[in-house]
Amino acid sequence: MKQHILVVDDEPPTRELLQAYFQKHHYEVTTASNAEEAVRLADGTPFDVVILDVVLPDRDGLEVLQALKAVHPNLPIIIMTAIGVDEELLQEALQKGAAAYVSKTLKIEQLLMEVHRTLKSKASRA
Amino acid sequence: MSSSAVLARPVHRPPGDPLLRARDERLESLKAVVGKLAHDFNNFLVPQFGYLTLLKEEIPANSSGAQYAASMEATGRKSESYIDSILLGMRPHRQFSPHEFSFDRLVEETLVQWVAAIPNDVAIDVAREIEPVPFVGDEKQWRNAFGHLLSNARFALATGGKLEVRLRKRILSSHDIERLGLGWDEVIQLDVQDNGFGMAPEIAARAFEPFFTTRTQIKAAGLGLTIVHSVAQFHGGQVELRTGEDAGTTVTLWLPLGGSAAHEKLASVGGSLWAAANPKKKVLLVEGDPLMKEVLRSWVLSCNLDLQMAESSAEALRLVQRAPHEWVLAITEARLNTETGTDVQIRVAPTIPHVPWIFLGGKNIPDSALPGGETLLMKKPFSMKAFTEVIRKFTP
Repeated sequence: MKQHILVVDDEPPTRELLQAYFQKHHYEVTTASNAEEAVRLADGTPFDVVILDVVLPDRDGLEVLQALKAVHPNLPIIIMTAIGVDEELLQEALQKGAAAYVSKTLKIEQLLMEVHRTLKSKASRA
Repeated sequence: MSSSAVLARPVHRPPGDPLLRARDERLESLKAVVGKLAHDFNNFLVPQFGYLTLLKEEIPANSSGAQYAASMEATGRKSESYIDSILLGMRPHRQFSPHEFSFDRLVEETLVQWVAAIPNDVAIDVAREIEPVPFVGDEKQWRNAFGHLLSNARFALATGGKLEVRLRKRILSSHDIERLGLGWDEVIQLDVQDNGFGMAPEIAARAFEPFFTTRTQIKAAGLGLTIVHSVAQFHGGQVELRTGEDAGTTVTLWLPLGGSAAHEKLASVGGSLWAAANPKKKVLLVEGDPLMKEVLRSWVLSCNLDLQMAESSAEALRLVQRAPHEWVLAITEARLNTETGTDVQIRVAPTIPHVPWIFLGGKNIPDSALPGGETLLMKKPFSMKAFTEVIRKFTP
């Protein structure tokens, strides 16, 4: 069975790219363009991992992170940011339970590796 | 962290000379605008690279299509590199990788490369006075910044002249601390002085502005001194320019001895291990207004607390049910979209009974609206100072 990723990003080109790329690499991908949609989808579907943009139109990505972790504490969430490696955001994301923190400028192959690593880590804890 | 870098003693940080302060405030405004544009442009590049990766996976490696894709990627990478330079000047925190390094070695090595690139027919006398200075900071950022200082000096010495570089430890007088607005008296002072053609006052006044350059004939983006200013300020320092037409130019940087500001940042960058060993106290904010959330978040974070936000009592309850003992304060709007602050408190307080509450309300909220217990009403408008004072009082 394919592992299921929820991609949350308000930018259609980024969302569509991640969907196309991860589907090509044999993942099932569902996308959300805002926080409300993300929380609703996560409540109804057992995702294996979430890739979450830190800037969303309706809520701060870190707020969405903590809202998702409050309901799904074992769901790994990878925070994605376009601003590079900001140490304050990184620290805050890790404190709020993010599994990883990546820059959007990271090569997409590296994001795939991060998803692999996160899922492997989740499997070893199970 | 073991370190041979001796740290500067923190002193009360004065506001600094009004002219320097005005310059820095103007630069910060400019950098915010340029940084936002560069950041947005950077965002546009991200899907382009991703789709190129997908394309390269689907077309034969030696085809003309693969060559076109490779050319597109190379061009994109050039754009990315240019944006990286802009962002370094506007947002040095974006890619900050601090470690301990020898500042004197950095200066020496960069200087040797600079001297090696001087053509034989240009006579430049180089004098140096360099003390050993261990430092904690981002070495890459400093190589970039010092390289720009030398590049500017090289331009000013196009026809030859003298360059002096001094790197030394100093204890600043109270007058200097006051003037520079620094939070340290023990500093590293770096002077890069040339006796070239200098700058007219109207040029010098704008020299640190992003994209301001007098070098129109060659590739110069006008980012050099902006980067120097940003990197210095980000490392807790200050920079000043002294120049005059045909009077040469001296750029002086003052940085906290050992890189104290960078030490603090390094501790915070220590990542999850550091965070796990030193969990911040948690503050709950129940707020529906995005602007209020944005402002209060930055204010609470400035108090070194972990702010977690909810928009309703149900969401707030889910948050506090995880490790209730970690919460130290709860803040709620007196009137939310579909419920009141009192509704929130009634639902959430039993899980965190030890936590005091702050209600935020407009002038029309009477004090009698408050429930009992340790509860305070803050009436809007309130200032950052008033808010953070209350937060600190409630979270000793």
